[in-house]
Amino acid sequence: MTQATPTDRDGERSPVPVRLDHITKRYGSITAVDDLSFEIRAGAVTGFLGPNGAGKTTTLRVLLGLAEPTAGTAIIHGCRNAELDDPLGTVGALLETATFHPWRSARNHLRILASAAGIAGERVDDVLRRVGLAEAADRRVGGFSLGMRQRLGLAAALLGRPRLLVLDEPANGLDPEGIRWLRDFLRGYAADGNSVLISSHLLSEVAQTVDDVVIIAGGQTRAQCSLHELETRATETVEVRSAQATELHGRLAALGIDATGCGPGRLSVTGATAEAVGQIAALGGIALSGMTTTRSGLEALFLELTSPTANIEEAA
Amino acid sequence: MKPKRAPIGGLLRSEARKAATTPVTYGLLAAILGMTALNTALSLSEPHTNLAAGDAVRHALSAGRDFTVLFVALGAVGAAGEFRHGTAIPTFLATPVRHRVVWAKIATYLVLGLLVALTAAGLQLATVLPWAAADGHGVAPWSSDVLSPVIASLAAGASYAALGVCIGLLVRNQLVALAVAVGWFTVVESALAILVPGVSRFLPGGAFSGVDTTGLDLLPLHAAVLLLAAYVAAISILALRTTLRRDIA
Repeated sequence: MTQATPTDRDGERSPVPVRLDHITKRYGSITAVDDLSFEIRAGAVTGFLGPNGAGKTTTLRVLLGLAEPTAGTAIIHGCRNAELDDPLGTVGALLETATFHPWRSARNHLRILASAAGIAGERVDDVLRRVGLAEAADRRVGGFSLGMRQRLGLAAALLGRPRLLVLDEPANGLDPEGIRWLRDFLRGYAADGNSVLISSHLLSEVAQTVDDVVIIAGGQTRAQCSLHELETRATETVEVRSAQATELHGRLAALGIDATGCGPGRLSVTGATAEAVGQIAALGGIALSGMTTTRSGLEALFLELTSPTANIEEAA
Repeated sequence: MKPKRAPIGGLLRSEARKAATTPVTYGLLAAILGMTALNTALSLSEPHTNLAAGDAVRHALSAGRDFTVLFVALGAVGAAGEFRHGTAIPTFLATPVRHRVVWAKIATYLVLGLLVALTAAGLQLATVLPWAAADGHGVAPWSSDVLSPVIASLAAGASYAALGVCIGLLVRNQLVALAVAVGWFTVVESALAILVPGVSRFLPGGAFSGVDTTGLDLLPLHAAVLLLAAYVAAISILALRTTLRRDIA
């Protein structure tokens, strides 16, 4: 495993908030994460998507230093998590599992974390107000609804004013109003120059929130792109039939257009209209025997990308 | 400005606040004080008890150490409870350098065990000294018949609470940690004391049992303190290595 250069220690902000480099995590004979690599952009909300059991939570636990990877390196702002000088000021995390003592009040839960991180006590009331739990600050967490627990988890994540938020299925238990509040909050948080990595098993749940997506299944990366690119791919797929499919594939690839073989003499082209594909073929003197355009929704594309039979795409 | 890691004082405050906001802490505190008071009173009420003899005073002031397993339970529940309730996750997110958490937790329970033992000793002294005076036998609080068992109780309380933390960190499952603690101190050591009598005084639970009762082949106080400190150090290192290696769930 390679050591990261701790650029943050000089007070300089690493341009890459999260970088996972060939992460593998095995539990006995089970491979939960398999050679997973991706980066996220600063100032963006990145959706970390995949079906249940895809390896999202394990990946986040490795990123946060809670689980040791079998291989690979997970870097946050230039450092491994254990090397961060100001852990809660660098990354705030909300994991899917309940992490509260039911007998403690919300305020005491946060005070315990604030003391450990050297954060002033006044910040506890600030974050409780920010997540809308000021009125319930002295109530025992055991009596909280799932949505209130999620808000308390978010308050804990915000305690150190982190530059990066890592949220595992944060919309679980939130009512529609809570989901809208979370969406607006995350958009505003990223607009301030911070970064957010948010996991979900539903693309539709985060489609209105995220800028970029990383899609995984079976512990492997299936796609990494902007949401806009994904929408483009989801909007139109052009299926072309030609005896010169290989030659056409080369011309499309030279222009940066994705095309995959989907049978003998057949290409599936995404990211270009049927008209554009026709023109490229004509310019190259390539005869087409047929061309059909299909439109699919984001959810259909997501299911296609995460299906066990999908081709594993090289992360961009 | 270059940020600095939070000072250890903050971590100690954090651990102390955890113990103070956990109901089991108060339940075990009440059990320790209640059982100590009851056992001390029973010891004083035994027929033919002669408080003029120092042994009877020592015996009464050592009565609380029959419940040292409760100190082990205090530490074990405090440490394993973090894994039961999932609070280990925010704890290690706030302090990713895990050895700092382990040392802070052990140090906190050393102090907590000492404070609880101090309270129990105060309760015992408040019972034994007036009882002896009423019986017409003045016992000086600074006499070795008083100081020796009190010092042993304080050292035992602190050490056993720290041992409990280590068991909790090693086992992680709260019920199993309690079973290990109770099983070792009440079943395994008792069985060994019967089967191999010479070994008993060198075991963690046997090191302090009856150090103040003359006539038995037991360790002197300073040797018992050193032995238990060695046990605490050894199991602390084991707990630290395990915590550094294993994933946090």
